[in-house]
Amino acid sequence: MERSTRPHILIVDDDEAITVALAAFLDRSGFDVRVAEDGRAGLAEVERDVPDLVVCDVLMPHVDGREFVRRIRDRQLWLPIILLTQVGESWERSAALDEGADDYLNKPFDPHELISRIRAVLRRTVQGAPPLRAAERLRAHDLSIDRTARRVWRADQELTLTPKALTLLEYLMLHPQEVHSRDRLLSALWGFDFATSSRAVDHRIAELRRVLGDNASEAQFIETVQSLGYRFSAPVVAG
Amino acid sequence: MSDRRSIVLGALACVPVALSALAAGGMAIAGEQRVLAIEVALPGAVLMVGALVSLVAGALLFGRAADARSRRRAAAAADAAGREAALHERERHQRFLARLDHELKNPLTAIRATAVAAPDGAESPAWRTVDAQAAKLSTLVRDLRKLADLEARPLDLELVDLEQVIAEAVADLRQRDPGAGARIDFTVTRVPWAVPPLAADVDLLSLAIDNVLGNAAKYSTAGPIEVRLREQDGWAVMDVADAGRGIPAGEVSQVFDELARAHNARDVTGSGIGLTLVATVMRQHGGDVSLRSVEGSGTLVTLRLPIRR
Repeated sequence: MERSTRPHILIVDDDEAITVALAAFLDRSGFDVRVAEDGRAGLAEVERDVPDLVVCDVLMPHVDGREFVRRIRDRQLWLPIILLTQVGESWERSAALDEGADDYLNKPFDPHELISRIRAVLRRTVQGAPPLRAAERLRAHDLSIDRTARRVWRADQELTLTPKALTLLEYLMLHPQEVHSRDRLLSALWGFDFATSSRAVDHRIAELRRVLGDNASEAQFIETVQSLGYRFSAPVVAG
Repeated sequence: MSDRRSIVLGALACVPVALSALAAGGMAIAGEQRVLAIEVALPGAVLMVGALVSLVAGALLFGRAADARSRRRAAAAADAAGREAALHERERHQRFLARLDHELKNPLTAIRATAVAAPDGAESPAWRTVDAQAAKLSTLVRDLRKLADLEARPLDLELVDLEQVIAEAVADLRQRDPGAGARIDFTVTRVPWAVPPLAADVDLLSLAIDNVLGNAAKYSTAGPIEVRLREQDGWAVMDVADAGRGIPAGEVSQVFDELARAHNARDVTGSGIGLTLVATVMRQHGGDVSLRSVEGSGTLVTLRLPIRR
């Protein structure tokens, strides 16, 4: 059977009420959808035919979502994965991103939000960027970051950042040329998304700009996108 | 001292008197005629009487001290038991919220997906209602989870200038709501003791301050909003006072409960978790929050953070 040009999505979730409805909705939104009822079945499906993207629940029998991501990455498969996180705790989110998921969404979510995440992640992948998340070191111009050692340099000079600012920089560099709203950055990095607290993001951006010697009006690294949020504008490469 | 112990001691104290009374009775009946005469010099007798009186007074004092000690111990034990019980109650409550969240999120995800996946989902008013109501419930679930998150979240401590944090929160509110912003007056007491920099999680603290300021702006359409910062007895104390609608007397005690919203606040949008969140953040910092309010007159919210030098 010939593969259609529609992106292939694999949904891995043990709740049939969700998979049936989501599959119908994704199908209507222009995707080809397959469903696996748990992580083990999901791995078998990927083995059979690698999809363009996987939407995977976290809490499942046999192989859970995080284990699923680990095993996929262990096989050097870099297909994009969006995790549907179950536990709302912030560590779960950062763990999801650390372990190689490309994005996450908290249940219960707006299905339209899932579509926009899928499209954003696919766009990122289609652009042919190397899998930055697999790299230990990232580089943009003369700025480099060692993700394991949690250290940052500008040329030969090491910079001192607070842990939050460093995590924010890492996140921005892993998703270059994308506009991130303050709320999105808050929920991705801080684990909460109270709209009133988006000042927290501005604070850390200000810290980053100060330490990196970046200028808001002539940004070399972090651009302010008026009324939308921030974008890491410099090209990022692994190594 | 326990009641049983008192009874036993009382009974023991009576034994010598009872025994000697029995012996004396027996002697009198037997016609005992002998006399025991003790000769004491007058100064010696005076000294002995004095010593005897002191002994009685001393015994009374000793009894009272022991009593106070045991009362203190009992009060401390009751206090600790109260704290323990409150902690258990909070943990139990958290577990319940986590379970509720867990049980609701899959059905809600399924309902929302079903509503948008229906062939006429976007056009049908019925499906749109289903989706809108499920979205509302989702928000509720998420709000409760945010609270549970905050409770479980480790603090990211750094040295924080509280005056600056409050000034930024005030500036932020002025930008978002110029009307309310114009009514805010922020005063800081620096003499003789200013609030020193504190170890705090600045993001969470801002969240709490934003909430309290936001409430003052929301629930008072006119009149001044006073924000005051001072040091008091080793605490950094922040007041936010408004001359707004206040909270009905019967509902003040519940304002820190999740989803609690006063009857006279129904016309103002709000999640009902703001003050719970404030209380959680303050508790995590070893501080507290208290609230005084009179309906139709105004509200005073006081946040306290311990200053550790």
